[in-house]
Amino acid sequence: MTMAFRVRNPDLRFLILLSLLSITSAKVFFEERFDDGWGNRWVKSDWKKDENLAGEWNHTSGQWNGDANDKGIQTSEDYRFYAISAQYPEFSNKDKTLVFQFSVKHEQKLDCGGGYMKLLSGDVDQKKFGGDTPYSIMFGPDICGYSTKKVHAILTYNDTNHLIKKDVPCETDQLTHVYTFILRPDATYSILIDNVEKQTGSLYSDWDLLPPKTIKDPEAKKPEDWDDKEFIPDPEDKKPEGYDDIPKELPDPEAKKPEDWDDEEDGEWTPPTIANPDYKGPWKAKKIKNPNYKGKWKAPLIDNPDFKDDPDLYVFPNLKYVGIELWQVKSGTLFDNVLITDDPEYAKQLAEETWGKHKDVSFFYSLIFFGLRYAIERYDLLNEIVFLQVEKTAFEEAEKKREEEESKDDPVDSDADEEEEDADEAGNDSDAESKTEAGEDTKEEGVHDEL
Amino acid sequence: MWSSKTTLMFGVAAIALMMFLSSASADDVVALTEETFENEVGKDRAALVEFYAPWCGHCKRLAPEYEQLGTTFKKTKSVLIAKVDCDEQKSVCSKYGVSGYPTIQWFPKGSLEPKKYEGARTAEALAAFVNIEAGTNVKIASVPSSVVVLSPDNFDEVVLDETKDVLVEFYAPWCGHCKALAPIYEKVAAAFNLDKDVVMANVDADKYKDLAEKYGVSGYPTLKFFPKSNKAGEDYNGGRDLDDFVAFINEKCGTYRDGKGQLTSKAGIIASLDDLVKEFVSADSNEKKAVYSRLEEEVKKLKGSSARHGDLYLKLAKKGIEKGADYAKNEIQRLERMLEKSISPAKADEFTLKKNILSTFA
Repeated sequence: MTMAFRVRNPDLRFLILLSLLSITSAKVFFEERFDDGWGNRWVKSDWKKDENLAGEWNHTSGQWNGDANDKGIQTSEDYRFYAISAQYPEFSNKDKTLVFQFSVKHEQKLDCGGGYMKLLSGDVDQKKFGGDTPYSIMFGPDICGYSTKKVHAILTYNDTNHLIKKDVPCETDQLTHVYTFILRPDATYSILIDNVEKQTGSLYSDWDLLPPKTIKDPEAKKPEDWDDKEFIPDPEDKKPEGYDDIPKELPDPEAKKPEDWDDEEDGEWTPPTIANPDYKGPWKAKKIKNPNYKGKWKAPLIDNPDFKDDPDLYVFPNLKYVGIELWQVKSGTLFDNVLITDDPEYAKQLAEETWGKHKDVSFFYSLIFFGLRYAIERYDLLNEIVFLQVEKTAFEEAEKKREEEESKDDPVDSDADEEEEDADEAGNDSDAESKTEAGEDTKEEGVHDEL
Repeated sequence: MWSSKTTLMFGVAAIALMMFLSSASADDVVALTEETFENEVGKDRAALVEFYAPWCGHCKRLAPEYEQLGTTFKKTKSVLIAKVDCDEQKSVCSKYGVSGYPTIQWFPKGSLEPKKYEGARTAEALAAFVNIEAGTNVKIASVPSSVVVLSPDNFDEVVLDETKDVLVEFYAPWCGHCKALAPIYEKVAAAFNLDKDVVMANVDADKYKDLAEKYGVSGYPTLKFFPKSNKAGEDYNGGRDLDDFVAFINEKCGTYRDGKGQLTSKAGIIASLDDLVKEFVSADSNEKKAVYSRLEEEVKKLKGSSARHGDLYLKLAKKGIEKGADYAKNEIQRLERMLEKSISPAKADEFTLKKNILSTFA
């Protein structure tokens, strides 16, 4: 204990010093660690309350944690809507970097639900905060089944919500993760998870906030001499003589005239026909690569007359609230350490502190998980060994019996070899059954209209 | 203990037998091994190689197409169609960077550096790829189609022909529902192949957009029916399985086919002649002649296919007079025996019509 305290002390002192230095220039617009007075700062919405679908929040550190005293708020009821928000002094991020950061832990082994938060602007009735309340930024993880595991980064511009065009995977385990969104005055952004940068880029290219800067020239026409056929019929390939005379069908050589056939009554008998295997359909010449092929034609790009730059693209002039608005089929998501600041360094330190608290637990938990998985694999392998051993024993016994019988006659070695091969194949086949299919599917275009 | 071991032994034997049978049916595609791969590939002929695993679902779906490809190129000396079981030949598959199944790779003549095939997994598409890469022009054996393929060149000539009832499918090559419909549509067309007044047609409406626009086609597939009496066309809104199509055409066109193209037991029967036939059967030999004359009068009033069927009524009634009371029953039995034997579809139609009409005389 004394030893642990000594180790902690230098870190704490260093952190305090660094924070003091930061405070002289940085500004924290909102910080929430969910200490015991958190209820005075957050307003639980009445949204869905009348329908008895509003879920309750627990103030807790969760079932596993790095610090039992470090609490957050956790969803507690399944199949419920959750809506809660907090107010901070209104500010604009013009000429400032905006950092929005919080930690999320899905203790419930979430199969479908969100873990995101929102920043809201202007005046909001916090008692009516809900899914339809306009927001400025929505950021955080969203999980549903196997196909949706993404980090949302939605920006509202001219009253329209724009989703990020990049696919940023989120964490899907049951541990605490810190999500960080950084928005800079040069209209660039970054998304970090546990202080690791997952995506960075420009608002111009990664959202459709403005019309594209360049467009295909609508006046441009493909030149008449542009050849975009990659393959052409081979002019050297001639239709073989007699090709068109090949009949589609042939008389069935197996057919016989029925005994009851009466030529006078029924006319002359003709056999039924079968498809002619030599019939190949209408003639098509062999395809060869087109020597004049110039590739697919593309219209040249021109400046888009509809494009009008906005130097304040990144600006949210009236930021005032932070909120959580979710539907959870399976509850148990825990939020903590919410931070809104203009100082990425401070956010980084807070993230490190947050994640660092939990990472030892993370290691221990992972150890249990991997150990369990290893044990399961060993059990499967043992089962398989037993099966193969029984199979081998049965085979050997049959082989022995056969040899005893053959001792009365001349033995045939090649037969024994064949049976051994068969047994090997059988073993491989049973082994194959346990493997996961790694198939590839040809993609089908989904653009076209289908009935 | 003994019984469970015995069961296991039988199981092993059954598996071995199944493997033998499955390998026996795959002769046209060459199975390569670690030992044989570089003796067959990269030498004096090019090779298309499928790397697969027996447990892979996509490989199983590809198998019949790949077998057909093997059969198609069997006689082509410059091309080898081969496959490798990656469960058994692991070193070959890892050497050529196979990480998913099935992987299809093209090895040019004299080369062990493959080009990955990423086109459609049908025999037609694979054959087209091989033909281009190998410089061959081998064609897949083609089952004749009974569907009339329309284009702007022949659309009006076929569809607006007032002597034909025409069903037209407007499709697009990329449309999944159209692909699902295609084999059913082909079967319907084959079923009505002998009814010359009935035409089953299709048109690539994605390729010929003017036709699609003219007939108000906005989704695929769209089916429109152009009967003899209404060449403006009407939408087909019925079901899209074989029986629904057959029932629709039978109702609209006055035909009597089943899904296999055979005539039903109602084909050829004319309801307006029922009473006269009953009278004919119960009449004595003198009265039969009088009833026969009245039948002739009624048949003269018939038109179209009914007129042809009416003539059959008269012919069979005359035979009844000549051959006596048991003619109808005996002839039905004779016709039934022959319908089970090798006869052409046209003759089968003729016999079925006779049998159906005779059943009203029995």
